[in-house]
Amino acid sequence: MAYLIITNGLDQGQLFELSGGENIIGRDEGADIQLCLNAVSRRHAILKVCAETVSIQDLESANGTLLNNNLLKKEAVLQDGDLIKIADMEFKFCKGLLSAHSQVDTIRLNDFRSTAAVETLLARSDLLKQLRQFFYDAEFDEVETPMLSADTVVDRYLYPIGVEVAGQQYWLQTSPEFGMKRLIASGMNSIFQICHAFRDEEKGPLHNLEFTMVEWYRVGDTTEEAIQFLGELATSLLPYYSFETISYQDAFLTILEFDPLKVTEKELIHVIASLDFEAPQNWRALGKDDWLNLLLTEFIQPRLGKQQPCILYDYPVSQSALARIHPENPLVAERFELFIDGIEIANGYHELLDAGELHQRNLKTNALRQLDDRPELPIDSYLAHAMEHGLPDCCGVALGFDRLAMLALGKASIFEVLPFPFPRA
Amino acid sequence: MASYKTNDFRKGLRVEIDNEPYLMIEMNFVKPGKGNALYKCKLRNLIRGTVLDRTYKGGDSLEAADVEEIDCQFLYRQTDTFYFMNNTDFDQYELSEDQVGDYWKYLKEGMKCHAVLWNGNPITITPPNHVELTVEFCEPGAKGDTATNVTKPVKVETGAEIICPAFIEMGNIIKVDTRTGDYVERASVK
Repeated sequence: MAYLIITNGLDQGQLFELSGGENIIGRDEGADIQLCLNAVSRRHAILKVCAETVSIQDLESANGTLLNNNLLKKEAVLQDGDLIKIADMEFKFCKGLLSAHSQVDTIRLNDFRSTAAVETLLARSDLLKQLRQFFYDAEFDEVETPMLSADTVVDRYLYPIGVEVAGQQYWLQTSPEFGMKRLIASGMNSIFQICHAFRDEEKGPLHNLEFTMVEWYRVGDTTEEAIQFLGELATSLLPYYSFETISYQDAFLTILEFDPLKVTEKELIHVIASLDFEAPQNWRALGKDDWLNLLLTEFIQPRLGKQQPCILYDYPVSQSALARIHPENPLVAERFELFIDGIEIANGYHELLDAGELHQRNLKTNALRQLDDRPELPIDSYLAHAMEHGLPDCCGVALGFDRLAMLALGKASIFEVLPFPFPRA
Repeated sequence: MASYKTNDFRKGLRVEIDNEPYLMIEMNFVKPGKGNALYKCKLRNLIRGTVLDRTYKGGDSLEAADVEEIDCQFLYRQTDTFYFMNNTDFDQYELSEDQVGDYWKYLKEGMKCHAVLWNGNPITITPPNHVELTVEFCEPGAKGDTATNVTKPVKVETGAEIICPAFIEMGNIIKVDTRTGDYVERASVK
């Protein structure tokens, strides 16, 4: 029996048993060895297993197949230990299980390696440099705030990781929001931070428990100015000339033909039931904002930012998070999000300044968390004190840097741009 | 019984839905920054092989299914019942014609197979991808029919009919792909 073993990346050590006859490697669902990477062709290469020999042939793939670092031009017979490279993935060919097992042991010794290719990490470093330069050019100061804090953002669906230090509860930050606002209240004006944030239970091609966040605040910005700055940041780091904006209300009216700000729960249930999609189990037990989020995720988001970055603004007031309510329209909050190619990249607010309102929102959120069997989060915080003291009028934005790097470098998942994704951290 | 919360969801999980065992073959985590997570799953029914698309929201859970995979040997067939033996503990299992499905065509006595047990009972049997079968009966091919695009049905030792090239003769051993039921090549001429 012959085997292929992945020797790099997140799936390092995975073993594929080759069956007698033909084995197709490709992106196709029907492929014997399916590789879900953009750079892999649907039918990329074929391995032919005969009684005595195994041969490999490239199936005129777009990006080619490398055998021992040489581009494969014609069918070649494989020798034990041969190295096959397809896109960023490396495989070792093993003729027998014994040889395969010793390979797996070797791989365990090798699992210190980065899942992202070194070239990709160098490109990521360049991108960070450009990003910092963009902020310096706009006269921002770089700051650092604690990753481990007694405060944490109170959100129904964010699960911060708690750490006990000297008998007191601290939290790994889900974003540097509180710390940065404390700096604004302390007298700083235009600040940015590139730091790590932690969100428990988030895993997948676009999520890693620990990720890199870029967050910035500028005193005196209007929502329009903050949206303009975010759009310029996106177009300066990614190959786009311009960006577009659409209101939350218009997006729903255009794509789903109902008004999300005026719709009743009954009408919303009717809309969801009439749409053709795989709705979650027991979706009727969810609430209005969950239903709107569901429709946004399923029907609107995939169409946002396909031609150019798109900023969705004026979210329903019930989804205001820490944004202020629009002074002229009490139905919406001055919250906005950036989408590129259907992927959520950034979230921004014209910041809530009212400490009393923050207290009310936190109480409401904690009540919802209890419904979900989630622990209550601290309501009193240094941020609350800062807001009581007086937080200057400002806008703030948080951006997921790993996703931005993924798009900038043409990768399909953030694991291709992160060196040591969880749980191999 | 044990259950899995959405946070435990991953590819390869065996779960029970509507009293049937399923294998999670795909799991896609979708979550807006401020919103509930969705777990989009593709689940293969381990009895019928059908694929189910299901979306779960954060906080949901699924029952774990007691499913294990074993190597076994096909012993013999008695009318509608097929007998297999577990290669590890020599337990014997009976499977009905329905459970074996089309695979009866390829089962030879002593053949090594792969079985899936649910709550200790076999639910599916899979023969090797390629099997060699002796042709017991076929019409003689017309002279000159050497091209492989001329085909004919032949009857093999298991009693099944396989579509073969016209040059195959009685007594030949042919190689068949059990996943598609297609003739692969002539293994030997007797």
